[in-house]
Amino acid sequence: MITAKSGLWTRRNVLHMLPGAFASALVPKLFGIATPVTEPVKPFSRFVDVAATAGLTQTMVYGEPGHITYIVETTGTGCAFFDYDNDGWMDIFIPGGRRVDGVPPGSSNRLYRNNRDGTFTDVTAKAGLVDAGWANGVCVGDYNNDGFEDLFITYYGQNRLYRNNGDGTFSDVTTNAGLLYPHTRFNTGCTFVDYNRDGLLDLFVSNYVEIDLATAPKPSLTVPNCNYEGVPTNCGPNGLGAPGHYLYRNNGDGTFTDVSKESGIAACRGSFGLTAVAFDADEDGWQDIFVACDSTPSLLLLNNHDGTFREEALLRGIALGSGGELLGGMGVGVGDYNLDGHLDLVKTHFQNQSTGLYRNNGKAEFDDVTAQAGLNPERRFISWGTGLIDFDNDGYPDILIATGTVYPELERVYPNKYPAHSPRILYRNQRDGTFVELGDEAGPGVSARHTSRGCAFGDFDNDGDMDVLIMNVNEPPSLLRNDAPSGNHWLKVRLEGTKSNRSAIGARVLVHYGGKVQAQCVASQSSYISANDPRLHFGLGTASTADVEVHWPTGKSETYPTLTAGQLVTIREGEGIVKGRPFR
Amino acid sequence: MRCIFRSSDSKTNEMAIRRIWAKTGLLLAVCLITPFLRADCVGPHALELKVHDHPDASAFSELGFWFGDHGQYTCAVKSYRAAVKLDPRSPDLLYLLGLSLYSSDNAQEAVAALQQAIQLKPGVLKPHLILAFALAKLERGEDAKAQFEAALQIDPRSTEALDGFAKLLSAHGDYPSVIALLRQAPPDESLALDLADAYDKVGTLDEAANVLTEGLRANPLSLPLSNALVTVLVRQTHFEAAAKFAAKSVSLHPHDIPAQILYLHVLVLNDDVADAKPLARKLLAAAPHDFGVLYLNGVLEREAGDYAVARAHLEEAVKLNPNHYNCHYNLGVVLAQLKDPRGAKEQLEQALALGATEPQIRFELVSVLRTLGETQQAQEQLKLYQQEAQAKTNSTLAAVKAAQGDKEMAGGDAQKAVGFYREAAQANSKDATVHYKLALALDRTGDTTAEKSELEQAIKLDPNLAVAHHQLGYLLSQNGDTASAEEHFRLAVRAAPGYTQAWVSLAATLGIESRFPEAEEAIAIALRLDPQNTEAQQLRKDLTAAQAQR
Repeated sequence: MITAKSGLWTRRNVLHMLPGAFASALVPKLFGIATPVTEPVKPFSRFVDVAATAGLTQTMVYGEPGHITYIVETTGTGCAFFDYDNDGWMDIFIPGGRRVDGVPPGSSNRLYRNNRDGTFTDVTAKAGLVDAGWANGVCVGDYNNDGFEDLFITYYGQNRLYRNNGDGTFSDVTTNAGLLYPHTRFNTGCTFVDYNRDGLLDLFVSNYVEIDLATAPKPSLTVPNCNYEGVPTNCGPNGLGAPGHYLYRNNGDGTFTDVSKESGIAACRGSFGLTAVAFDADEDGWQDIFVACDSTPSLLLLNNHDGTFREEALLRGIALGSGGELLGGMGVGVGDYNLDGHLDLVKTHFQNQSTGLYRNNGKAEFDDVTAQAGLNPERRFISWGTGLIDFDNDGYPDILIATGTVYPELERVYPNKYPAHSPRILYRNQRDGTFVELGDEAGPGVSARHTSRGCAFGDFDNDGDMDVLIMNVNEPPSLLRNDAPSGNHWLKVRLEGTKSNRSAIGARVLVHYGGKVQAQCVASQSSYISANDPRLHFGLGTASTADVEVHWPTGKSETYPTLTAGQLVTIREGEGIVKGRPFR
Repeated sequence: MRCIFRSSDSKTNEMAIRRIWAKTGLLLAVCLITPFLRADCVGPHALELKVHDHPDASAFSELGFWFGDHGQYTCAVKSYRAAVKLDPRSPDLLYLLGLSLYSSDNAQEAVAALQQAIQLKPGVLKPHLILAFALAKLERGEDAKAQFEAALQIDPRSTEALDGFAKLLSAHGDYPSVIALLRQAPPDESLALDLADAYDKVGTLDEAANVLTEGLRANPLSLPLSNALVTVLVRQTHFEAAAKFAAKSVSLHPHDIPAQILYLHVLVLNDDVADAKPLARKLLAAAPHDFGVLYLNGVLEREAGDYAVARAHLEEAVKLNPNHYNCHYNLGVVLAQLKDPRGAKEQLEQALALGATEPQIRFELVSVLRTLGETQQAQEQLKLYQQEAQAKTNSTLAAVKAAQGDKEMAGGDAQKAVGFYREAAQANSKDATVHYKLALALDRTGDTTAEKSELEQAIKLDPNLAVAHHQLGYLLSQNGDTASAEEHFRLAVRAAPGYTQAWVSLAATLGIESRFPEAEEAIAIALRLDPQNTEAQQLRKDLTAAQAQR
């Protein structure tokens, strides 16, 4: 046998769960016998990529195609469904990237206005959002409670806060908001969150690694963590410094104050942070924050109700893999896969690591149920954007995952194992706590191969099922139209805070239907550094009515019994169901 | 790693001895006549008859050889003793007696016989070689080295001598000397394995892989070379390449179970579950009580969530190899899943006691302790987990920064290198090599004060870091402090006796102090280590000239 020898914690051998030499590499991992794909009993959704016909044609530049020099070229970008003009139809925002040697012509953020006919118009310039850089994540929220959703974009560089002016334009208010900082940071995740329940959206920003491109290591066979399978590749994140994360308190006057230190956030160093999700994990009425972290323990920041947080991911079973191994956490989906009324997490990981499913008991104590749920066998691709979304409206949330390599150079050497382009992964909820992976039967939009990062879930055509927007690196995005099977019912819930923040970010909604209960929450960011349609979508299966229970971010609860399926209901805090934005 | 190259050094020596036995003396006519001599040492009838009829040295020698050739070394010793008694001045008989004694585990007496043989007939390779083996067995390392060197003086390309010497040096951790010894060695499977092992030990896995690849090119059917290359590739995290070589090896040696187990190892590591599962099952049928097979099946079953079966296999594996910490760890995880936290705790603690350093093992223990309600212990373990994880992160960061420093040094930008090395030292202040590298970079920038401080720090962290002693000696010598310089040069050669440059520096310093005999001695060692060393050659001339001028 081969004896153990420690000391080879290179980036991807950690991710191969290889802590050292040969024998010690055989630490537990979660994979199992490949589950044969079985034909679902009932028809499922089919997905067709309609991006081109919908007018989403601009290439989203990010890094050098086919060859990546620095890790900053690997993380962008997220994307967002949001209704910037309050017309009741989901618009699209995708942050704009660049290349190492500059910004190529045409590279920019993209804001696409929904034309309400299945097509979009690029209104980036008109909206004042033309810009490009090492943009990463996007989070959406009405930070000034003026009724219009604002945008915050993270960068390797300087983040940007864009205030929605309500007239179809945005203003960069970063400086005035007090969100400038003196040094370059590798900001990735962000989420608006009312952590102190004052009705104002505060802002959390996660950071990935400490890196200065002037001195950063380049692909090399001699520098640790700068090669993979014997091929020089971009370096990191292991071997790079782990930065801190930031919390900004909203002062209510359009400005923010950095409260990272006094809130305890600044003390949470040592993790390579990516997607940030704010939700009430322990159901105590206060917002908590989960950060998916790459190659380091993920973070669960529990709210102490006094303006501070405590980090307890390790204690609560959500920091590491089921065998205690480090995972390459990328994206996070929040939802209730087993219909127990508690918000569970699905977390995407690096190659050779299955996507993890974590069952919440409502007290923020998580069980890793990846193996039981049948997610173990699929570990071929690096996975990014994800969500627990009920695509076929059968009342049980499914899982979709966007995938894409960070080492395009490997394809030349190992085309089968490490392809530059990879398909989307779709799991159908089998209604018994397990999932089955679907293939071509889910449509060409799923099996198509791209190098993708973030994805956002939303009903862009307002047809009562959840579609998917996917950011593809150095390609136009994909817009997967969901053609859900007929026969199932659904209900959409849109919330407007009054005492709570206007966007109702952090609200937890329980919908009871057909003897089941499903929890969802309004999140400013999830998936992979992306923002979903804020209208919560519940498949109801055969149930034609549902009872809705809303837990507002400021702590108040309301119930709305016997709502008829097939509609969007808008609930205003303290006022009840109101006439909302148009739906059809 | 080492185990894959060879099962043990003694076994390799034994093989060399067998080879020597096979090559020694004349071919004997094999007589199948029923032996008639004593029952405990009975040779072929014809030879026994010859001894009986003509009890001269030649007859006893023939019989002794027969015994030796058949592995009956004690009997060989008796025969050769009788032969030597009859012809005590025969170097050949003394050598064969020494060989027999060594082979029968009597190294002490072998040494005397072999020394006599060498005295009577110098310049013969094999007596020196066997004497070296015997001295090594008696842990007389320096004497053994001298005999290997003498053997190599006689035949510099002797693979047995090179192999034995390399193993002796390796056993003393002197891998740079192994590399120097074997870099130009003739193509040979054992030597390639020795050299690759040495490269591996000094952390140059690329060189190890190159040596093994070259070895395989010359000897494509060599299973040891193939296995070693697979292991090196795994250690380089080149899993795809490792899987390819392992698969090829299995196809070339379809009945070799260890090769298949190695292949299974690689498949498991490479997440090739589809290929791993059937191979694991096949191996379980073929070798149901093999540790590796049981362990790997247990790992696969555990990962598939088949905990009960995994438990059975891992429990048996642990019984077969109670010192394999990963086996304990996997069993611990399985027991935790099977709701046996007490059993899990025992296994995880055992894994840690066996020296496991992977933080996840400690973390798994934290979970189990919490399940058992042992919160205080859980907290302590969690703290340790966090400390160990942080230490690993820092170590990785330091490695990257140091590698960047290396690149800058190679590119000639010492100032930039200083910056990277400082960052590396900051991340992992306990790495002596980083401080040494920083010292070298500072040397290039001319900051000798800081250089000295870094060298002292390096030596403080690793008192056996020969290169740091040498550099500090050099620095002190430059400053005229020859006494301190000499001290550090001596420490350098003590830590790395094969360090030619340190011997040259020591000789030069002793020369400056006009201690010519000692200087001559040091330069002789340097030239013995590297006869072509021009600096040493020049210094010898200078020393001779200096003495002549006195």
